[in-house]
Amino acid sequence: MKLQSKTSLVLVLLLIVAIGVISVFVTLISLASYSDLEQQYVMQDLDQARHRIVEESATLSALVSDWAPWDDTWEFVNGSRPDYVRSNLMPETTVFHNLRLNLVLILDRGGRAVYSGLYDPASRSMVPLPAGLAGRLTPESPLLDTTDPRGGTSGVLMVEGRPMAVASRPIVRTDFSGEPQGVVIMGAYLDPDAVMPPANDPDRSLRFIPAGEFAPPGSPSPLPEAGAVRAVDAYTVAGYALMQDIYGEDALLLELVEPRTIYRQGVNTTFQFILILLGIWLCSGVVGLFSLDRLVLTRLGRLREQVRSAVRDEDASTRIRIGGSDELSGLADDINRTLETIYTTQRRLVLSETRFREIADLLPQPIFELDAVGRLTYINRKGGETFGLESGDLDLHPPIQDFIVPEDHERLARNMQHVMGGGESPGEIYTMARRDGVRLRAVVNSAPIVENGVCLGIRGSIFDLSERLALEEAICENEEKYRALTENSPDVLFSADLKGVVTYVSPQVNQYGFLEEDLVGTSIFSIIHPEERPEIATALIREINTTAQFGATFRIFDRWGNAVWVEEKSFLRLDSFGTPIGIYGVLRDISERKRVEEAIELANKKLNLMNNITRHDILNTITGLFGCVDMANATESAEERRVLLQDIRRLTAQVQRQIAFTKEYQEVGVHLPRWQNVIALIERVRSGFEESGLGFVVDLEDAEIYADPLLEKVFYNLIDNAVRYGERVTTIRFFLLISDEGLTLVCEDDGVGVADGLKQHIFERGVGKNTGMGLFLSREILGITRITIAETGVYGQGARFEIFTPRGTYRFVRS
Amino acid sequence: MSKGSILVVEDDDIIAKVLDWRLKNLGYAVSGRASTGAEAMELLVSHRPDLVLMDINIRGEIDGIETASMIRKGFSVPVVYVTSHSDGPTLERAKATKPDGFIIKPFDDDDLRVAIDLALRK
Repeated sequence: MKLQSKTSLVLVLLLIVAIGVISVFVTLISLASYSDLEQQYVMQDLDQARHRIVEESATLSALVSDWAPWDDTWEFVNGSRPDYVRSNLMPETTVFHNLRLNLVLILDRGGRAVYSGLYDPASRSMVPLPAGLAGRLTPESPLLDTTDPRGGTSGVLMVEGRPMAVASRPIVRTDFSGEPQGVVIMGAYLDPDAVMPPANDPDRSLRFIPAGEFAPPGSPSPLPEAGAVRAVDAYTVAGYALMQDIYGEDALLLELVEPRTIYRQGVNTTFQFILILLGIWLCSGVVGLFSLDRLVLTRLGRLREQVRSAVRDEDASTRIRIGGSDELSGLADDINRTLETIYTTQRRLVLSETRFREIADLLPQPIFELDAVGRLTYINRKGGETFGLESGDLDLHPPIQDFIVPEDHERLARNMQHVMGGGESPGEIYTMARRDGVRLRAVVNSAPIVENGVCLGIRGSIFDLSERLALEEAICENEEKYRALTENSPDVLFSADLKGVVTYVSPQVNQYGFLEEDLVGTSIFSIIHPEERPEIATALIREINTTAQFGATFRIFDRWGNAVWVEEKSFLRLDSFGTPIGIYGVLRDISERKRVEEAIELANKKLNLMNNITRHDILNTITGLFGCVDMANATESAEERRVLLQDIRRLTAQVQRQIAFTKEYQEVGVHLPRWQNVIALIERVRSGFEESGLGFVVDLEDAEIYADPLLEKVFYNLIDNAVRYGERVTTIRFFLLISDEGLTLVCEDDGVGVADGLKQHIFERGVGKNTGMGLFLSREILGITRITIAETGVYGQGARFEIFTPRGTYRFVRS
Repeated sequence: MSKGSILVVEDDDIIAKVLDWRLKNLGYAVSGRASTGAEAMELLVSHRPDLVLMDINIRGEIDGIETASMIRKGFSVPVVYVTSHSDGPTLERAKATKPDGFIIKPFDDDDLRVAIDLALRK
């Protein structure tokens, strides 16, 4: 259904519904108002009717007031005025008619009727009193009440089913003196026409209904409440008012029946209003529909046709034109902008698609797409070349199985199902076959092509592993080769990051007591000697930054705390972008070489020293010799010459000792230092003093000292000195003290010891009781490998020599 | 009449005797002989010699170079070193005290005479 039809239909339906709703509301509200107004008028009329009845009673009461308090009546009742009736009430019909009375009763004090008369206006004659009237005039009747001479009673009294307005007053003298002698009762039948309020409507009627006979038309309900108004039918309404008689009982129901003039007029007015409203609505609807069609629907239709044309032609360059400057033209502008956006997007999409296709063709690895049943729908240029696909082969959508060896087909199907089900492709390796039969191993990564939640196929890439596998094989070979070289090299190879944290270390580090995992993750500087750590760190950073290489010689500690001299050669380690990421390094153990170098250096120094000392001593002695010779030549005294010759002999002997010392001293440092077992050394020396009677206590661990081969002479000198100068030595004790700095070998005896003034000089050349060379030579021998000696004993308690061996120049023999 | 009084600082008895003999032969008077630096300072104060012949290697806490340095600071007495060191660090250290002369062992009378005369003329 077109929008125009829909709009018209909606408007018509809306009109019907609106009119219906308005009609209902107007009817309900308006007619209810009219009905209320109608009831108010009926009630007013009923009130007027009741008021007239009351007025009628009041008129009677006034008339009775003329008759009852009257001396004539008083006297008549007392029997003294027998002409009273004739004088005042005859002819009765005339009197009753003039006074518009129907009943006159004069009763004495006993309630007996002194006069009674009932006038029938219809027959204009006096008629007998109704039988039931006497029964109602009992002494308790308010009509017979004489208690108040000035009082009276008036109201309605039903007489034989007809309502009558009655009034009574006590009969007293005219001046109200005297005892009431009875009552005067007057009554007049009520006439509905007289009671009914004046009106021009002839259809209106008032009816008196005895209360016991009430039966309203169409309603069997009991006596209605006073003021009840009921619609008898669409054209008549009845109002009811209940009145009580003088006894206070419900006696008379006034029924006022009126035509529903107001209500009918209201109905007509409402109907006319609805008709007018309908007319206006119809006119507005027609005008509205016409305007809507001209201003909106027709233009909307044109807009739709243009949009449909653009969509049909898939031409985003089309522009919509409907004219005007309202919302629809704004909508057209929006659509044009959308079309512009689509057009731009399409162009970008085409460019993007072209770009990605070209990129895909430039890729060095095949990429492909399969449909849902595994047929090849796209493959890039590299894929075509790899599998030997000709132009047009792809149009045949060859199945992917054509390019995979049959042994892998089952796995291929399983994996395709897995991927199309949304699973991840971990990269499956297949043996693939080219059109020319050449096989290749390739890893295939794939992902599902999903559109609107539906898997349309598979997209993936193929990575030819043939070269990589060959490369990996070569890498494995190389790795094996280099691993063998690394692990069999005597040097420690390592790598570290830029912070110096070790990332790899070769197993050769085991020779220093470390496992590889002990060092990996720790700083390379942690094993470098603390004294050299800052210098090495600074030099490493400086040289790596400037020359990308580093070389240094320093000490490291092995697991047991021994210092080991190493020579490091490192070079910068770069990542694939040339960014430094660490160093590769080689640590070569040069402890032996270092010790030899140090020993040679020390030996050279000592030889130079020995040369200087010897030259100095000999020149000094020769100076004396020359002097003595000159003096001997110059003297004439034989005795003096003899003394001088003795001096010359002594000086010559001194030169001989000095020369002999050079022979002994030159041995120091001549031979390379070596590791020497201390216990074995002492045992050998001790064997030479077995006849001395000394006791030896050797409390040593099995340790070795790296020292000059003349080390044995040191222990010989210590024991020989104890024997020669200890005077009371009985025991010589050897033991070890281990500290963080090194190992101290203690040799102490229980002799007299060394005087405090000599402790500093006993190691100097020439100081001592014999040649003065023993301890000097011992110090020099030990000094070759940086071992020191000191005397720390207490004079009088024995000598104590401490030979301190620094780290790196001692070791314990491991079992 | 002597050419001047000389204080000999030498710890070797024979060399001290030889020096004494040669100095006297050359016409100098030997005002005293000291074996240590401390003795030398005492004799210098007490005898006021004209020159000091100082052996570098003498006994005691201070050697000849340190003794000569103290003499140079406290007295205006020329000091001539007598030593067997002809080179090396010891000689360099001795030169630093700006001595008035060097006599290298072994020496003869002429060596003594020339060195002492030159020192006394300064």
